[in-house]
Amino acid sequence: MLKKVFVFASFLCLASFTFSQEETNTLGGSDVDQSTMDSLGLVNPALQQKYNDGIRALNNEKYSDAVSLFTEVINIDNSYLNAYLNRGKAYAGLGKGEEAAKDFDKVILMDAGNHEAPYFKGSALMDAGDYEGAAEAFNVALERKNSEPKYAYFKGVAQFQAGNYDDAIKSFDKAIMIQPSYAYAYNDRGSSKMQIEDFDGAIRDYQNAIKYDANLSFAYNNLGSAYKAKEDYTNAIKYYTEAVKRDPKYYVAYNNRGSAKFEQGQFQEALNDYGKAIEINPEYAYAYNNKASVFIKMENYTEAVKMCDKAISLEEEYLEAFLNRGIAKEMLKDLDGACADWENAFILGSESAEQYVNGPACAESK
Amino acid sequence: MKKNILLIIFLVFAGYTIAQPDTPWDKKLFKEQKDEFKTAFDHFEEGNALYNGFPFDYAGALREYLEAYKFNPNNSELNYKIGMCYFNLDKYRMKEYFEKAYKLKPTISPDVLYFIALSYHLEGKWEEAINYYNQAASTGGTQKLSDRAVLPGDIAPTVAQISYRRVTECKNGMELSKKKARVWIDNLGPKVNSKYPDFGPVISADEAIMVFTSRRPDNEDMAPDGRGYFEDLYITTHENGEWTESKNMGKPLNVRGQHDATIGLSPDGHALFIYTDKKGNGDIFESTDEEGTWSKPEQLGKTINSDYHDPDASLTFDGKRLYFTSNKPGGLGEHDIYYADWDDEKQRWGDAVNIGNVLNTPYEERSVFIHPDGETMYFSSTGHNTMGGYDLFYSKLVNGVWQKPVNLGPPLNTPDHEVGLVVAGNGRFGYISSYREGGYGEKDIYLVTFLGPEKPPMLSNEDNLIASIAKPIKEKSKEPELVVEGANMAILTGIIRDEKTKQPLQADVVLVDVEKNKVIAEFKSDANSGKYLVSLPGGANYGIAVKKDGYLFHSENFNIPKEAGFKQYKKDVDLKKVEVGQSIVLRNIFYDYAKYSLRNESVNELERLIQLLNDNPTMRIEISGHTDTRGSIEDNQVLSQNRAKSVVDYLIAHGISADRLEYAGYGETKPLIPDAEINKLVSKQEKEEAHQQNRRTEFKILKI
Repeated sequence: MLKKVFVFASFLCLASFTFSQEETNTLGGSDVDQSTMDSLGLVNPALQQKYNDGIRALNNEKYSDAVSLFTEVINIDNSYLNAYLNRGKAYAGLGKGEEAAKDFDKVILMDAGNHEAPYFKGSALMDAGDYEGAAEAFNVALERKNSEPKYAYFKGVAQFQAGNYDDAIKSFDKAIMIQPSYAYAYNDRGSSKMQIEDFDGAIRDYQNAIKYDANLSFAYNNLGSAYKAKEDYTNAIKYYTEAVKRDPKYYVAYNNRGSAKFEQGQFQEALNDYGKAIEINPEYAYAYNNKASVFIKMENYTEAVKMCDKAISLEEEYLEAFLNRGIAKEMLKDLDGACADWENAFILGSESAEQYVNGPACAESK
Repeated sequence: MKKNILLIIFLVFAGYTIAQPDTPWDKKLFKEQKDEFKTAFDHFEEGNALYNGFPFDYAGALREYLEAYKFNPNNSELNYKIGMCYFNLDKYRMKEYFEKAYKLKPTISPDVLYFIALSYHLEGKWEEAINYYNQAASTGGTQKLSDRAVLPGDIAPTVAQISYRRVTECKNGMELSKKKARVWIDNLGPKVNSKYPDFGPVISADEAIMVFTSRRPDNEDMAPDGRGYFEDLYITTHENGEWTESKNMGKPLNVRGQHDATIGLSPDGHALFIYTDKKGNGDIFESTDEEGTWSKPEQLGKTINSDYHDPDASLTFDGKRLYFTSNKPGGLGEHDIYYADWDDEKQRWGDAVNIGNVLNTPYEERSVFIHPDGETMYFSSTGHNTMGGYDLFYSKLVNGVWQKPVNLGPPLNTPDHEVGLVVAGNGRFGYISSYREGGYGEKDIYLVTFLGPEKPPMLSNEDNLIASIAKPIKEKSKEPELVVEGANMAILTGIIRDEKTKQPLQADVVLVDVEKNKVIAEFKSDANSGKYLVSLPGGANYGIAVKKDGYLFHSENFNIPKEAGFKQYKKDVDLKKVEVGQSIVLRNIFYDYAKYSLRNESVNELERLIQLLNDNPTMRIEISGHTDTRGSIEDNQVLSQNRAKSVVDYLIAHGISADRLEYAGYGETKPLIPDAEINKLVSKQEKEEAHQQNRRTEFKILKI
């Protein structure tokens, strides 16, 4: 839930430079019925007050209050599209994607020119994990306003998440065409290209992302990973280093740099990087697992088992850590323990573990 | 920098002042120590007598030389000779003496640099060794290497020739050392090993039996080679996961005052090959386990044994081919690997055939071992890409062609000699003998556990991050494709008994290649225990028939795919006496799917049935067909009836009178395993196997 709220909040932040949650002007005066107000083109002051309260609650991330207030507005005036729109945002803030989508649909239906509603619907569906639905919604937003790079960009993100990398690349192309300096779009197009193993294309995109925003530490991280995928570990280490220079607390890049060093056979240096990642984030299970991998290579199997123990204590369904612990236990001649770990890794989906379980070591154990 | 220069100056100066001159055995140089000189010189002279005598007595010479050394450690000749004694006794201790000899007198011998190089070579210090070998080649040149320094496979070399060859070995060593073989090497412990030399282990395919050679005081005579007691054969068995106390095998295998050494054991453990050197050239003998007693060893005959040295032998899983080694003329080098096929008609081994130059080299090939999978050969060689001395190699037989041998690498191989590796049917365990630190004295027998390909650890990274949502995508290292390494075969073991009395029986076990309709091999179960062992290499469908006079035969079928890995099956067989009412399942009768025509693969089983009927001319039988419970009852009934009739028709067509035969189709009415039991089974495979048990053809004796 926290993650969802965080993700939606990031949408709101990104959205804020074009869509501000504006309050309406209060006209004042005594109460009249709504039809009279409508006929006069006037706004009900009580409704205005509730609507503005709702906006304030939304801006202060008090989503439940916002939902209540906008619901009251809608009860007074069920044709008030902005109330639907903002209640949808509040629902999304609460992680209630289905309710949010209903509100956004209402706006989409009632106002054929509204491009915000499909955009926010897309973001709500993204939160709910409906990436294909989200891509469709972003596409509607883009059709309604095809000069908005963000719509194309998020359509690409949704397609990426749905695993449609070729389509994602096309959407990022569109975003970049609209806004040629769109650093995020370059970065994410690069990540899409990584998925289809176009490593050189990915490198070019990550470099463009850095060119347009030199502070994107994750783009440096990704650039390092692209070089790592090409087995160019020297450049991989170089760009992971650039990433941690820009963000000294970037434990992910330390971890990745450790893995590049691991591949180069620099086991002690790899251990140092994984150690740094753990120092920054002691709950980072990956770094413990990776330390175990180094210890296996260094034939220090006892330490490898300890590191895997820690990784599994942090992430109980950690396939790699079970697999690695099995490897270390086998080398310690604890075949029963090794086979039990590989059994777990196999259950979690490891094909290697399946082979190990059916291999001679486990036959001996049985 | 300055410090380093000072250190170098100091070391050079120190070396200059510390260096001693070569000190000859000249009494004038020891005027103050006349008596001590005389004693020491006497030791030196006595040492020379032993050193130069025949046979060379290096141990005795060394004892004397070391006494002399206490008085005059700076004599180049003495240092050289001590080095040479150690070369023959314990190579790892020779370096300091050869180095000192060279330092005292660089021209002491044209091969002194060669021995220094060899010392580094044995330590695995490849670069230093290469450097010294190159120096040895340029200074020793075309001079011949001392006879006493020639190692197996060194063909009349000059110092230069052998040095360059060793350089190649060092380069092989450098390359092979980059990746160590993934093995554990564990001492088999004091129940098997002793403080005496224990070596030459041979095993049955299932590791139930191990026979090895040892030089223990059980053989009361000391051998004239000065290396202790004569060699005798010892046996140990694997029980409850442990090797039992090893025992001297006694007569007639062990003969007092004679070397009796193991060289091979058939996969079923019933044929033991022994090396005995009665005439000085060494031959191969065979002893068989007959009703629990080992027979008197018999020489294998002239096609195998020659007037030359024939020291190794290994029998294939089917007993039809014997691989052996010999240094008889006509080979490709020193000892070569040969094979001979068993001639059933002549009841002897056929002519020896050299296995060819893929495996044989101009150097030494020894200790051949053919794995029970029938397609993996292990042997030792001083040729190929050895890293020094004999190395262990394996080769695979692919489409009838032996492939280029692969060096098993360190830690199994070292720059010294490694001779003899036997591998169990499962491919997981092997046995070697080796002189290693922590042993029980001299050579011991070690268990080698082959760990298979390296299992790479898996990393977890976060790559390809999406900018907008800051959500990491979990990137896993790709799982490498695994090569399943190890034996592709099955071992079938069990006990054959009388169904009623449960007494063990010695019976014939006939192995048939069902698709080829060919008898592959025949074995006998042990008379005392009833135990039998059959090796089934992958890639064939095997029919197995157990036969004994007075009993109905019993048949089994095992289909072992080519890449099946290793499996061990245990199947106890209770043979039924030929009595009215007895019935057996004919497991090797095959029909096409949902049809009743007999497939050609059924012929062997049908022939056995015909034989039984011919052996019992008054016997009347009923052939019955049975199906599983899947499909309609009516269809199953018809199918089973027709299938039984097909068998009867075949028997009639092959001379069995129709009035001796009845047939019936029972459809799904008489399952061996009821559906209720099948439903309890967990896996789909188990259920399928149970259904398969129910689909069968049986025969029952109606009258004798």
